[in-house]
Amino acid sequence: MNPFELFMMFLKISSVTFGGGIAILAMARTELRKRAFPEEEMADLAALATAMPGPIATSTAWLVGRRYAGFRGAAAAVTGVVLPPFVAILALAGWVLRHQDSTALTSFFRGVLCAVAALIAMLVWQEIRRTLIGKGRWVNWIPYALVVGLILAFGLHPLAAMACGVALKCLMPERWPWIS
Amino acid sequence: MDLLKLAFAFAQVGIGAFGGGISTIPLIEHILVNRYGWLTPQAFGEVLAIAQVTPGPIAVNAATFVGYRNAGLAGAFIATFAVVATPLLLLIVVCALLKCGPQSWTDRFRTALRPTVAALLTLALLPLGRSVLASPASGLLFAAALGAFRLRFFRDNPPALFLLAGLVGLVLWR
Repeated sequence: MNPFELFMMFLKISSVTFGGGIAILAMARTELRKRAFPEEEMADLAALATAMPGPIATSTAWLVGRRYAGFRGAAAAVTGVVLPPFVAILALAGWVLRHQDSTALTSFFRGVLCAVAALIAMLVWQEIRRTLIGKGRWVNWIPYALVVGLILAFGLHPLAAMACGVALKCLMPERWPWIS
Repeated sequence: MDLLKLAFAFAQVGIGAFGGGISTIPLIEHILVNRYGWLTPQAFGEVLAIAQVTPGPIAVNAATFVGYRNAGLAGAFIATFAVVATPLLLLIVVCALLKCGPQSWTDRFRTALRPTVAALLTLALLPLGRSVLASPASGLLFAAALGAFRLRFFRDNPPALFLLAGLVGLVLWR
C-alpha cells in the first residue's frame, strides 16, 4: 500500500469506530487480513500497540503505515486515523461552547453520562474479575490498592502512581505458595 | 505561552494513555481539572460525553476540545499533535532499541500493567458518580443502561445507547 491508500484505509476505519482503542485494532485486523497481512506479524504489532503508551489507534496506524511505506506511510496512516475525531470535535466544539448553559444540552449530557457510567461499571467489573479474583490473582489487590490509594488519598500525579503500580507488580514474586 | 502549556499538558496525557480509552480518564481529569483548572468537574463530564458520541480515543477528543476552547484552531491543532506525537516518539525510540522483533517483554509488561489498569478504570467511575447520583431518575437511567448492555446490539454499538440515554435525559430534565 502507498501512503495515500494507507491514509484512506485508516480514515475509513477511524470514522466508523467509536471509543477508539481495541475496537480500532480489531477493525485494522479485519482490513489487513483482506490484504494478506501475515498473522504472526499482526500479533506482534497488536502486542506492541497495546503495551506502549499512547492511544492504541495511533500506535496501530503508525506501525502498519511504517511496515508498508516507511516514515511517510506511517505519517499518512496516523493523519488518517486522527482526522475524523479532530474534525468531528471541531465541528461540535463551537456549538457546544455557545450553548453551554442551555438546560437542554446539560440534561442531554447528563443522560449520556449515566449510560457512560454503566459502560465503565461493566468494564470495571470485567477487569476486576479478570485481574483480581481467582487463584493466584489475589496478590494483584496490592498494586491495585497502591494505585487507587496514591491517587485518591495523596492526590499523586496519575503518571507517578502508574509507575509505582507497575514497578511494584514487577518486583513482586510471581508465585506466592504460602497464600494461594 | 498558552500553546506551550497546552502542548506540555497533552504530552503528559499522551504518555499515560495506555489504550487511550476509559482508563485514561483519571489522568485527563487530574491534568485538566486539578492541575491546570481548565475545566470544572461539570465541564469535564461534558467533554467525556462528547468524546463518547464522536469517533476517536478519549485522549484525542479531549485534546482537540480543550485546545480549541483555550486557544482556538491553533490550540486544537497543538494539543492534538502533542497527545499523538509524544507517545509515537517513544514508540520510535523503543522500536529502534529493540528492532521491533517478537518481544516477550510486551507480554510481561502488559501483565504488570493489569492491576494498574484495573485501578484506573475504578477511578474513572468517580467523576461520573455525580451525574448518576444526582437524582433517583438518573440512578434509574444508569440501571436501565446496565440492563441494556446485556443486549448484543448495544454492546457492539455503545454510542447508540449513549445517544438514546441522552434523549431520555432531554425528556426527563429539560
